[in-house]
Amino acid sequence: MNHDYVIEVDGLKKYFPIRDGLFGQETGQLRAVDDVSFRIRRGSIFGLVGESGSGKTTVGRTLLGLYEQTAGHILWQGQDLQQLTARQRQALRPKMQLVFQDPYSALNPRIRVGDAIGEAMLQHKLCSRAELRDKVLQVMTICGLAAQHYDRFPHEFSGGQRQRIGIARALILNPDFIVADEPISALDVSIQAQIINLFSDLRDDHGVTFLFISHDLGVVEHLCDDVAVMYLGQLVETASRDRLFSQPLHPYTQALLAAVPTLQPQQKPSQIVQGDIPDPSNPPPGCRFSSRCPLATAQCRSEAPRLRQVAEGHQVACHKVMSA
Amino acid sequence: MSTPLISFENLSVSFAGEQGRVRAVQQVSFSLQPGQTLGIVGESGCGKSVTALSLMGLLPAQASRIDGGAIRFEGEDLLQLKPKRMADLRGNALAMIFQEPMSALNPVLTLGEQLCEPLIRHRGVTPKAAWQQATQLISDVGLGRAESLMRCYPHQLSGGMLQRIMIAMAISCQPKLLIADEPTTALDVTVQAQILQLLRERARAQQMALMLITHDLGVIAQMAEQVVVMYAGRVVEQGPTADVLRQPLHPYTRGLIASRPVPGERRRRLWSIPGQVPDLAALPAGCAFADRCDRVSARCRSAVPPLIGDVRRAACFHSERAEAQP
Amino acid sequence: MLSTLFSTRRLRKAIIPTMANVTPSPWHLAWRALRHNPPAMLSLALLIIMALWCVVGPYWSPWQNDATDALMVNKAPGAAHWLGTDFLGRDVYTRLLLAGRISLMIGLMTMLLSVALGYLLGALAGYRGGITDKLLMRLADLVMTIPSLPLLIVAGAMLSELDFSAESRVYMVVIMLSLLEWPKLARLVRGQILSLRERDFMLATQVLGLSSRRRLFRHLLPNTVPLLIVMATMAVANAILTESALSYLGLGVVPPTPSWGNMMDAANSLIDFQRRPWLWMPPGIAIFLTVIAINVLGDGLRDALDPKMKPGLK
Repeated sequence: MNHDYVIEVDGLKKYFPIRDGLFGQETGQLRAVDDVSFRIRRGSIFGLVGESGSGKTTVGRTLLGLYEQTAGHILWQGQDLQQLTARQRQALRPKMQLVFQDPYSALNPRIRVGDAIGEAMLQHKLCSRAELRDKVLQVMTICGLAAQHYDRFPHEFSGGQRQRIGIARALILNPDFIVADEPISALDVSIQAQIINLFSDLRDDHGVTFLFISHDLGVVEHLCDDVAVMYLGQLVETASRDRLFSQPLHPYTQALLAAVPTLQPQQKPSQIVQGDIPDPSNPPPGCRFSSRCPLATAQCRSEAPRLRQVAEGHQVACHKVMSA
Repeated sequence: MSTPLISFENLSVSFAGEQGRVRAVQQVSFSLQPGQTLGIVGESGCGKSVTALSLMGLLPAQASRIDGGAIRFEGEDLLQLKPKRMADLRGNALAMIFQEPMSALNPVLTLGEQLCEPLIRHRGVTPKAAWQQATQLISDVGLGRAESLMRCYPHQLSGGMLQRIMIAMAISCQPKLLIADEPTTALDVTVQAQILQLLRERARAQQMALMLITHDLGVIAQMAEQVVVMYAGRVVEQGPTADVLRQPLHPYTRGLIASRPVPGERRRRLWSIPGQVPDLAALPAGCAFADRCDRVSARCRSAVPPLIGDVRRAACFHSERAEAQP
Repeated sequence: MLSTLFSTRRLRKAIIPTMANVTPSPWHLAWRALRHNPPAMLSLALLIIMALWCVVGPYWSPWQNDATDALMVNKAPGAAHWLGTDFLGRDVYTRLLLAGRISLMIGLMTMLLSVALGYLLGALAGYRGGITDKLLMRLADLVMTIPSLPLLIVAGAMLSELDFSAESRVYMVVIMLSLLEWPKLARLVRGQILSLRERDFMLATQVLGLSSRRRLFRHLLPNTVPLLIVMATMAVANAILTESALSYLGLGVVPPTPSWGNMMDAANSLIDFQRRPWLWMPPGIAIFLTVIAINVLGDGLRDALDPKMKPGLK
């Protein structure tokens, strides 16, 4: 019963049925998440990085119970979520929250901001009606919203402000864990920094644990304590932030890092990985990155590598790295 | 100094809005040399896309209005051209690619048909010759199995591949200028790198000027020789990219650069520009950045700072002082 | 100018003094957008006037509905009879207004019944999914594949055989029309519920742990109301048209109960058609104006209720 870890994911799998044919029979499976395991330390920000089709969003949603996992275990503070009754699960809800990517669809357009933020408090009986307004105003201040925004409707706000409202809605329940699914990619650059700082403050001052899902490596490096890289439903590398960015071992991680346009002069063309991301419903046999990997061998194409520890807190799934 | 390929002269564009006219672009002036890559960087609502669309003559006719200025292409004012002459230039000497390749291509026509169109229209080649040239173009943009791709439909390809096809279409008639409006924003970062490399190669091979519009300073740093920074419809800074990034003159540019996480640096907090972009329908008198600026003074609120300078230009009353500081 | 006529701000301010300062809800915004749409406001005004006129008008007319007058048969419009008389000497103007009551009432009642049925079944199908959804949608498909007018004609003929009273006949017409209209509405509602369910804010309610009841009634359903309003408006127009067609054929509302449709059957006789336009033109024009007004209003409502909530110029 290790309570140093808020979330422990073990062998998580989530497959979606692909339906085709006259009667909608299941013709195949989309292996959105295929055997993913990691642990998130209390009070840290865990970065989950990947491109489209990587399954990172699915991981986040499955952790929160929006999807039913196909296999594997999710441990919340040592407790297996699947073994809880519906009632216990419901009681846990305030403790684990979600911030969405698109601030324009994350808020109900017909509900006032103050009501939207405070609703769940009443539902879970976390405070009385009398106290509600004050609590909402309190959390709004933490999130950088003004008191007069209480009675307004979402359409009156910019993207950045709506995202703050979404964060306030999640934060008011005093969660131990927040999944932030690409929370800043839909925002302007000058606003992104504000939200990043907010997350940082929440971790440092309020001890909130985050799963930060993103494709933006620059932000992940700044914000996260530990990082996991996903490709086509599988983890290819996990490490602490410092280790991952100073010593990326997996070819895909290296390719990702090389591809990020920095303010420093010219990237070398040879480091740019070729090819497109394969169709997630039909991944390459063996290592899923083998179709694009410059180091791929026959073994890579036939045998899928397992995630193995190479150093303290650093795991990689690659044949070439293991044999080096 | 040779004559610029493209020259914007005090361009102003506005749109009809619910609460009055929206001044999308105001007094925008800058120029682009032949074969040069210029980046226009700014956030949403800064007017960068509208600027590009004005050049191509693609603004919505009903809602938009050119309030003044000129856009010169090799000396000719594009805004004064007859529609037919503009149509001859579009797709031919002037080309443009957009952010969402999936919606920029016609879903019911094969890629081959769409690729051949500009060749037939502008170069007058026979359909057969056009088909061959188009097949070659597909290979030129780095896609394999060109013959079978010619017969595919857009929905069968991924975003990255479609963007390559868009580029192929755009460069098919050897344009002098290619405008790329957020060409990689909707793509994954590994694919983005490929597309940018492709643009760079083709621009060099075909001696083509490239006008790259983006919100990502990193892309600008990698691709553009010159950069124009826009804010709330105006140009606030301009100059050689390396210089601007190393020593920005305008507080907004400074803020943009400072709010980017720097790889390897372990700051606790990111610099962030406070506040948000003003409503374009209700712009304040004076500098539009005044409310968010740390160097604001009374002068800033009363008059709009003019764009001053030569090789490096900035629109800020306090930029001389900034230049004096390291 | 018309928009200021319909402004509710002063009214709201009078009722709830503080309300004027509260920022406009999406409903207010929609109302405001509608007010700035002249054709829609004109249509609304027209419909209100027509409805009032039909309800109140007959009381001011010296003529009774069934007051036949053998001496005043088929008279052209004049001072005493503004729209002339029909073959029984009845005042056409008064009958027109009374027919209006019936036709409009049938339109409204059909709308209420079909919308209630369509909304309920569509929402059930969309929210529950699974077998419920499949069964309901197959049922809707079945009803939709039946050609409505021939079916109504047959039903109308059967009704005549069964010899219902005039009043209950009207209700039968309402029921028949509703039973044929609900599938279209159900499909629309179901489609909207399906798309709303996947929206982020609905997923958010799941993560927040809100009760099913709350999610349904406070979050999901209010977002279907705009569609409902537009659907209802269009349903009225549809009902009026269908009822008129049926009554014209003698299979909907039958005389002596007046309806715009059955008043128009004067056009059947060549002499009446050529020589006595006052018999069939007024009801025809009435139907025409009503349906057009409803359609214009419905269009206006659809534009006004369209969630154009994203700010900024892109």
